[in-house]
Amino acid sequence: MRYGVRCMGLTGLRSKYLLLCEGMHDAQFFLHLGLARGFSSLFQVSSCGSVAGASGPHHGISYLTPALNALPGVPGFDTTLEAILIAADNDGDAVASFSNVQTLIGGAAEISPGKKYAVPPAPLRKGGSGPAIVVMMIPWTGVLGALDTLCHDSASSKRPAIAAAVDVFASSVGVNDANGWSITKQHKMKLRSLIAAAHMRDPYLSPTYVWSDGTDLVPLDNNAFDDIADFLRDFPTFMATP
Amino acid sequence: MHTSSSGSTRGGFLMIETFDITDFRCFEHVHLEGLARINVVTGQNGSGKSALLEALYVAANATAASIQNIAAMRSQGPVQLNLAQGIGLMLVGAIPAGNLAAYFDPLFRSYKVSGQTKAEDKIETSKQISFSYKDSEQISYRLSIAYQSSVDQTPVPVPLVRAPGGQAGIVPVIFDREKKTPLGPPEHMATPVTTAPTGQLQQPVTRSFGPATFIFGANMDYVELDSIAWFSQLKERNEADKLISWVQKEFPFITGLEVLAPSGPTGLYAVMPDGARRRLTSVSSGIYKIISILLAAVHTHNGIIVIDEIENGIFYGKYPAVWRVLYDFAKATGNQIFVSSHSSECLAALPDVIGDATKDFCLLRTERDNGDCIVRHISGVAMKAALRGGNEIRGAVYGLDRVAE
Repeated sequence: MRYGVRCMGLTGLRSKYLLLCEGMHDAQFFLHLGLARGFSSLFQVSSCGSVAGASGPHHGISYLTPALNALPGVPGFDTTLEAILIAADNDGDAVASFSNVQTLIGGAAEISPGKKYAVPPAPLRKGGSGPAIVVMMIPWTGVLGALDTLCHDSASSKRPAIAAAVDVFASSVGVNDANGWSITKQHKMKLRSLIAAAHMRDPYLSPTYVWSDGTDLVPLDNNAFDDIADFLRDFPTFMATP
Repeated sequence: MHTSSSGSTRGGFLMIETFDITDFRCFEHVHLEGLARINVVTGQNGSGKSALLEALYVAANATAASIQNIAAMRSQGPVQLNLAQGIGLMLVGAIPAGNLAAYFDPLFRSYKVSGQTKAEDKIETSKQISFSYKDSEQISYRLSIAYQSSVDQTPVPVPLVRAPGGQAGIVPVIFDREKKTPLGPPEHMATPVTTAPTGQLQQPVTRSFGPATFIFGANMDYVELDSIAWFSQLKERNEADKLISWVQKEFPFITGLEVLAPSGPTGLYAVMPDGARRRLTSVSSGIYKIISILLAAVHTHNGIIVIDEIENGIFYGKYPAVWRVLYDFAKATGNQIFVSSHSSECLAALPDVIGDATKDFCLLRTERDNGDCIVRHISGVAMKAALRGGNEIRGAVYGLDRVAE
């Protein structure tokens, strides 16, 4: 069976936990990580842009507020949903990125008269209930980068020779801090290049579809993903802990 | 089918802000707050969508005509003491004379499925039907309905009223109404509705408590007589231009509207570009539907307009214009609108109309929750955002083989 991500909206909230991530690539990653690591039934996965109706492929965290505004209108919000787990990138400043997520949560409209979403005080801390809000920063709390950072680590471990060549290529064309390339963008460039070099059948293959196309380009059993996978697998326990 | 109320169309009524339903059709108890200028109603089949609209209509109207019109919308004829087979939901074989339960139970009650055994499934008839609502000036209105289910039964429960003139005739329906202002004493009125020899329900002429109220059913068989009267009155008040301008803009092949009687009965006619007059009902049933609704919306002031399945008969490209004009007219006339839709395309046209006026809109979604019918109130902000994202707001779709969305 080929699993896919629906680009436009939710048909209903059917799991206790909604994993709301930044974009389509992230949604595909979490979906397939769940399948590979055995916790797929715990979460319904969607991206902020899909829920908010973003146009184009570049969704991003800026759609978090309209996505949170939309959720109370979706069937199952009152009856099924217990927690929203927001997965956001740290990029180049972990503190500022988390603070931005807090601002976006706080900017959402009331869920019901007099009740707003709770803003968690720190990553991996619960905020409120009905539904609770939890924020998981990627690659991990305090670590700079994005999901592409972890995916690049995984892909490099699988194909170290190509990864080394891509590093040389990136260096030779000036993809570095000094030229203004953020750490996230450097990892995106390297991941794209590595996939193009390793996937002769379709060098254009987007990182979004490396799993749904059945490739081994970004192995999900790589230990780069262990922190995330462990947290997601234990999420029910985390939620049950006061 | 649509009907007018006995209320004034120029009254000082403001919006219904809260609404309660008790033991009416599938609802045991519903409490709604935060009702808006435009209240969009949606929900799965059998979840109480039409029952909610009918409850609003009956509660605000509270006349015998409201009962007759609900019956007509549900394809029940006028009440007869000798009911024919096939009327209602539960008739098998001939109905004995005077068995009014066969008429009233389908109107007021639902067949409750217990989920246990068939023997436990039943229509619950012993509970008091009541509605109450409060408007934006904190005036509260309450209506209780008792009905006599057969000639040898007393109304359930029994209000202390007698038939007009003290006669011991059949009193099949009793409206027990109360209006209460924050300062003054409550006005109370119990109105028995009697059955005439013709079989028609008759109610003494009573002063209306509430707003002018109209209901437009899903079947589009609207009475032309009301549209003619409304249009004539608008023309007399020089208030028809806005409606005619809208019709000309949206349907350029209609250049005007007139009331004419060229070959007998009076009708509402469209003026065509070549000057010819064609009866509006024969031009387009969809356009006739829209104009009928808009006539009520622009003719009535400070009233309530209930529209079931607005999308029926309307081309999808016209949904944005219909929402826009309904909202504009509602703002201009002070009307409050309760409008249902099953159509994703129709609902998807709403966000652009809502714009920044999210407080003027809300969504009321009827749902089945463990067998009980409930109504969820969803804010205009959430409705707009959910629709903007292409999310489903009408009800959960189960059974999809999809993990991520």
